[in-house]
Amino acid sequence: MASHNLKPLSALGRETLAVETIGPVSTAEDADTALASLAIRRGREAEVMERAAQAGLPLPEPGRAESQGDWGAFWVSPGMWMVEAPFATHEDIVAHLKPLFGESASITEQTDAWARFEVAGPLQPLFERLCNLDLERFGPGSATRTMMEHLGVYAIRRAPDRMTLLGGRSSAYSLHHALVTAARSVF
Amino acid sequence: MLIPHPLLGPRDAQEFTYLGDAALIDRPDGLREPEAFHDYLYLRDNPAGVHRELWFHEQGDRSWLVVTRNTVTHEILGAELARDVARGRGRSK
Amino acid sequence: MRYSGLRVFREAMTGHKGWTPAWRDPDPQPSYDVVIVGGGGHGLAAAYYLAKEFGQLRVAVLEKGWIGGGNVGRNTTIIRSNYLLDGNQPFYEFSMKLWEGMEQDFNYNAMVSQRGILNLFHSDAQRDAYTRRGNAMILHGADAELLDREQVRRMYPFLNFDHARFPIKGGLLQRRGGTARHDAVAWGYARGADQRGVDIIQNCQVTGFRIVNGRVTGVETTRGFIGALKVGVAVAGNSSRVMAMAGMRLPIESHVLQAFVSEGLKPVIDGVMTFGAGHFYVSQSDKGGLVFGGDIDGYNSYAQRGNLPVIEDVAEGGMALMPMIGRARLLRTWGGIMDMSMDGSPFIDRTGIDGLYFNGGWCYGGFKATPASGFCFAHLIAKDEPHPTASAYRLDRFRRGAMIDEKGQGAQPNLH
Ligand SMILES: Cc1cc2nc3c(=O)[nH]c(=O)nc-3n(C[C@H](O)[C@H](O)[C@H](O)COP(=O)(O)OP(=O)(O)OC[C@H]3O[C@@H](n4cnc5c(N)ncnc54)[C@H](O)[C@@H]3O)c2cc1C
Repeated sequence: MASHNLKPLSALGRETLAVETIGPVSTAEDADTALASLAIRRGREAEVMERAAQAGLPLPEPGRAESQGDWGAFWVSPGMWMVEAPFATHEDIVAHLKPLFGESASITEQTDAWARFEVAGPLQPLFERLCNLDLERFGPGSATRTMMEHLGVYAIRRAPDRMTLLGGRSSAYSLHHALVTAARSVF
Repeated sequence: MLIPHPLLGPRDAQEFTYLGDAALIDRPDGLREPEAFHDYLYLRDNPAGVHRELWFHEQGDRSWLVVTRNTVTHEILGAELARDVARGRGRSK
Repeated sequence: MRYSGLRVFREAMTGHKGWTPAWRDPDPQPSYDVVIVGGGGHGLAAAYYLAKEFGQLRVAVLEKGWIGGGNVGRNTTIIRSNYLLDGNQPFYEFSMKLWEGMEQDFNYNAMVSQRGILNLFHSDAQRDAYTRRGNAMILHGADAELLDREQVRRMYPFLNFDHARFPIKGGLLQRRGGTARHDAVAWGYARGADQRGVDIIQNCQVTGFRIVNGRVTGVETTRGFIGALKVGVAVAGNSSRVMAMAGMRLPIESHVLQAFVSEGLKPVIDGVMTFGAGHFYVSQSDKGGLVFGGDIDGYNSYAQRGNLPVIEDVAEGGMALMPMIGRARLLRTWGGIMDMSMDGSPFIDRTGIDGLYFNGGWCYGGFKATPASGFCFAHLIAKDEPHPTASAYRLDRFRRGAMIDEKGQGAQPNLH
């Protein structure tokens, strides 16, 4: 095998993942999650739901995120979800999903299209700066897409004090900058 | 303005882009009815008052909605999935 | 009464007791040769030129509120003739020439100020586009200069030249462009028309058209029926509502555009400037307020007020261009209703009804058009044929594939 000394870079273009602690919040870039989109093909809704149930893969209601074992998923639009799994075991996530759903769903690799940040700490003061989400109505298990600093972002509330953010990888730096700037101005 | 998304609840209008009159759902066949197609593409009722209109949840779930809104007061009276409206009119897709 | 420096002096010596109202407040006559619906800039200018240039017609202007209360008194007062397309540029240049002689013509100070308008560019591609536009302007007899970054810096050293995303690379300058006092334009035309016998009738809303055998014979109003041989409609944001009363559907949507004024500041911007990477334009009024604006809100509206997202967007544009604007306090914002057309260009045309003429579709740019629009509308009404510079502004141009789409956005009014 050819030897090389290429190093993987994070979405922010760094050799190590960015972690910041700003007052009571921390923001950490995450590269340990594999991601694929799953969209029901026309007329195959019942079949997809049945196959998902058999595989133990949750397909939550609109606006929700769920996980079960290795699989997690959040709703993105009618008939479509993002499916998550640990990168270490599911780097080839599409190859894992295809056999489960056969021809009933369209499945697309998404892992490297996104930059993922885990935010922990008091969320309310930070996110009311960043976006128009109403956190009172966005409890744990909620997931949505919205805008932060003109960037389209998925936000998934994992716990009262934990939020996952997914932004386009090509604008990862801008999202990180927005996040850190907002945190510095709040705390 | 807050738009009551049928699936996601109230959402800031900032997340949406605006297309216009919901009559745009009913596109005539431009090859068979060029006159009707001209009117469809270029003419608008543009009422002052209640208006049914298409909004796209671009920075959200990418649903097209038919929003009923008063153009004089900006009051929003309701929102439906455009998909359901189109199907209700006998459209299959 | 003629206004002059001598007159001001004489009145100053006699306690200002000799001034008379600038126009009469007549009751409507039973009938006129021409009735103009809408006492905005365009309607008043049309009445003025009808009376002055096109013969001894008996003319009335019917206004549902007070003159100057519509868009003519709500705009950001920018005048320019920096268009690209054939159908537009000669018309707007004709308008520019009328601006240059207007105050002497109607003997009123409209504070026309040719302080120059500078359109900034931020990329090589945009420089190419502005070069092309400048050349088109020069070919049509207007003036245009392409400035490089250093020339812009000499004019406005405080701009954010090294913005990380939108560095300023230069600008297209039209020195003859500038501003005018918006409602004074309405007042000047009103006074000039009144002096030539035009009846300006305020608080008179047109509620219907009387049409007999395909020919208009007059208008129903809140002050009774008024007969007319010809009726010209120039009601801007209300175009669709008014023409619907004549059974017409128009290629127009009504949208709200907001404007903003800061507290008074020391002189800092002596011309008009537009940001090329977002939608933001700014000038400074003689009282010192920064007058600025940006995009329309983007949804159909007849409410003369807008919403916060656009205010945020405009503020962001201002901050990107001149960060010091962040220190200025906003005094006032308001909105006006734009007659947004399907290709971003206006109409000055006959209708399918004999004797009924339509003027509208001015989008957010009809103030600069006021003199030429009035002149060309008067020409069309008086002679029943379009003025040469307005011959492209036909209602059937979409059917003929002859759109005048400066922005290339297609039939999507909120993108023009
Ligand atoms: C915020 C803002 C900024 C703008 N900035 C610029 C700019 O910088 N440069 C530029 O060139 N243009 C600008 N414009 C556009 C410009 O102001 C308009 O295109 C132009 O004024 C429209 O023509 P008008 O003056 O005749 O309209 P208006 O002044 O609106 O006149 C129409 C009149 O018709 C009357 N009317 C309506 N219905 C009836 C009825 N049924 N019966 C009787 N009367 C009726 C209304 O009351 C109104 O007075 C701006 C507009 C706005 C709102």
